[in-house]
Amino acid sequence: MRLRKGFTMRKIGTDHVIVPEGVETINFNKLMSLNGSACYLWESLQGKEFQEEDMAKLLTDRYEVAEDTAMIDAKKLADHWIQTGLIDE
Amino acid sequence: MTIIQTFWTLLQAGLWQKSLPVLDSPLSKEEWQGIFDLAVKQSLDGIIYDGMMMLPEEQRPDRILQLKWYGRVNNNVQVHSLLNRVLVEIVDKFEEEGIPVLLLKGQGNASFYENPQHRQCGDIDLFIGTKNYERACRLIKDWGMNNAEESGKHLHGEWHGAHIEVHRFAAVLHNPAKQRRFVKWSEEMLNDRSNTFIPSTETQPVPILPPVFNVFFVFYHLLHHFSSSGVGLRQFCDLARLLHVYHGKLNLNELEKQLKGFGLMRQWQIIAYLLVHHIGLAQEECPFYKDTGRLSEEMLRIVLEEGNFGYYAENRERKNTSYIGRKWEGFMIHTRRSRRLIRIFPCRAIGNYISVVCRGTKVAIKSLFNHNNKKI
Repeated sequence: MRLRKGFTMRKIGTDHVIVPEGVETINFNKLMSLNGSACYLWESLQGKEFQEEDMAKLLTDRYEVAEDTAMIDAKKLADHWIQTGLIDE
Repeated sequence: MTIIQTFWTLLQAGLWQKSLPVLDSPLSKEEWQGIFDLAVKQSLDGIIYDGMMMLPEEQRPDRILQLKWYGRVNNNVQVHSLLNRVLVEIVDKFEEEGIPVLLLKGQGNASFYENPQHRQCGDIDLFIGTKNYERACRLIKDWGMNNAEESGKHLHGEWHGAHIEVHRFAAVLHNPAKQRRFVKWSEEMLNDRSNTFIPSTETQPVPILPPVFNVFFVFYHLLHHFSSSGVGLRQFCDLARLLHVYHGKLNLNELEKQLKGFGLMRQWQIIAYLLVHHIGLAQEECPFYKDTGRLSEEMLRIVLEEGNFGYYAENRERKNTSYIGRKWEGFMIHTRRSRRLIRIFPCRAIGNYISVVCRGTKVAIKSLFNHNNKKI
């Protein structure tokens, strides 16, 4: 999977938010607020093909978290991004 | 500071981006919601947002409203990209067919703003003129315009995701002699396509109206909509920005001649007062300024109540289910509104009232006649 084109991360107030930009995502009527680890993953995965395992590895590289916990979190986030339309599978 | 005072402070800050807004005290959640609702009502979400963002962080609204507001502003930016792309494409196609085109208002007006992409988008209005109008309509339908419908003044429909109007006339004046004069003047404009702008997300220039005609047209468009169904503050901001950018370059003798020639100087001055005292245009940049306080403030009251194109006016909803009932309701709505307008623009209000009533009566009689024929 890949992060879909036409989205960028912006800081609005105290939030880091994924916002649609350009004509292709003109009908995407949502803003997604990200926590710290989701921001980190978003920036790290830009322009790359990845699987959930890659997301989990990024989390364990950066945070003190067990592999199985990282895998659960990665899967949850990936599912959420797929459902929201931020990922091309 | 009241909500409306804060609104003006933020509008002037966002529109001119010269000085930071200062609030006496932080606003409550409900007050911020009131500001936001008013900004939406007046199609000024982006401009008021810009003003809001110039405040210190602790004075801005809560997180949820900021995000919601940003979402709207961001979507408008995306629509600008779409409109700019479609605009360049359609102008190009007409020019390849040897049809000169001038852009009316819309993206052209936006280009006069400090932050063009934060001006609320509308549609694309192309002035073609009488000579090429029929051919332009045929062409754009061949090129795939959807839901194409025609009024006497223009053809409108959807093309490549944008709403486009192809205009035979730039505007329609009720007085036949004045309409002839206006058509002659506007057709001359098609020969001067040296005034252009480059849409912010494109590289190709698009021709717009020459300065005096542009100012006159934007003013007349505002006046026309106020007189008929209603107009929002966005149109006042458009006119103010044009006058600001054109300051020192506008042929004021020509503008004066045209305003007086069309009998519109008094109307200009009533609107000009609001540009200076509320929109924040510098008085020295406002031609033919006059203190018309009371009448202008009455106009503003109506604008604030009714919002963009009168969409938010109360008592406009027709509740009757029968055709005649609804026609009667429409007549009463129009009569009530005209009574308010007559204090500000008496001749215009009367002329407009007569025109709308006559037109409405003709349509009603025709519909009833067709309905009876179907029964037989």
